[in-house]
Amino acid sequence: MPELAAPARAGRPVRHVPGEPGMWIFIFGDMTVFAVLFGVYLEARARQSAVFFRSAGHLSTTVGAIDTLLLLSSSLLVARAVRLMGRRRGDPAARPLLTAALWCGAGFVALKVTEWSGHLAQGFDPLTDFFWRYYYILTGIHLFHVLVGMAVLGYLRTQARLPSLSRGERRLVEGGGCYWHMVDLLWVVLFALLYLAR
Amino acid sequence: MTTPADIRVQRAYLYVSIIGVALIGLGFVGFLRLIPPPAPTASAQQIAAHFLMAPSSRRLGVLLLLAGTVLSLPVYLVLLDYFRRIEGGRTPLAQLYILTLAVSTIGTWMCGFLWSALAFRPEQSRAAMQILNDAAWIAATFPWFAIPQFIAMGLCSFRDVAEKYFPRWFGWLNIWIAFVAVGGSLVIFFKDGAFAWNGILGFYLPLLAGVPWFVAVLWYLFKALRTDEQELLQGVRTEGARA
Repeated sequence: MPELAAPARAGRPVRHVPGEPGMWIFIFGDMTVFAVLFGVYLEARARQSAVFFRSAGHLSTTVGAIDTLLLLSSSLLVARAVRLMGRRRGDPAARPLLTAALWCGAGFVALKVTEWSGHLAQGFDPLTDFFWRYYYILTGIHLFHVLVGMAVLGYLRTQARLPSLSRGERRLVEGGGCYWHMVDLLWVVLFALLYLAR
Repeated sequence: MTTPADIRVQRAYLYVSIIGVALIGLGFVGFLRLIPPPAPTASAQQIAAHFLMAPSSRRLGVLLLLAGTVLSLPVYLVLLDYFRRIEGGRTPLAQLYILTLAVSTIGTWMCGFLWSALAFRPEQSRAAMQILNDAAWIAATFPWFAIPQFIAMGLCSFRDVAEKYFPRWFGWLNIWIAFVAVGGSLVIFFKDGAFAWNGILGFYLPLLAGVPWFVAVLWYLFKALRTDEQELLQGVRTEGARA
């Protein structure tokens, strides 16, 4: 009688790193850079708090809140889509979810550009004072990440067409989703630092 | 066809590059004394004083910097060889890598020549010395040729699907360094703060990120050469490493 294979151990969860382990070097590295940026901003704000709080008063909390809502919504949509794409048979519902997430991203970009245009029209440019310098740099670097993230979502959307994904493709999809969540998380911190802390 | 002599030469290239990087460090830190970097807000007199207080030492520092740059280049050729093996075919990424590397090396040369000019003629105008110093630091820290170089390296590493020579995380490290380098673009806008050429994002973070990168490059290249050497001894073909 052939020996049966030993049954899988019950009760022990299978370890799974979303995406791939190496990708987290990139994500944590990027978050470290932003942590340094936030630290630099907070240090500068502590030294010139009057200038910072006066200039921050020109930002619209409502616009910042809409930006936050857009990115949080897009993160939820991406999380749903990645979950569906992780199934053995791909789910066609993933593609419209990613399309909607892309539209949220586009909305964020459009709102950010409009916001900047408004500030520049009022005469607030990166050389106005330290607050505006950090505002444009922080939101500009974040916007660069959003644009890269939208390219990643576009790639995920092409993968959503496939009837099923290989293990490697699934890892890439998860990794792309994790990158977008990082972009969202960074914005939540930026919103708090720039728009809410007054 | 790879021969054992080829591998010995490439291994020697790696050792020479270690010496090159050490000379760069010695020249930059020990003789030019440019860590910490002089502030962009420093006056022309302060810049001149830094270079003229010990002109021979500064000139020797430039010599070591330039010699070290030349000696550090061979490691990039070994990297190129492995990237070409990984890609196979027309090797577009490897070509992009070597071209952008060659151009970004010019930045190191330029700052060496400019700093040597600063120490060469003590009687020249202080304003001229300040401009030369500005140009040298912008050449040293402005990253735009390094960005496609690191992206090409990252993507090449990802193409080593079997991870025979480079692990996936090395590709991600290169992509991350390219992202870090983007912040260095701001050095031409700011004379103080985190984004100036003496700031944490303009100078220190890219410099610190380069240390684990260089260590990883050497580690995996030495390992790759050992792998290829063993395969040669066993009579296995080492060409066409692409999975």
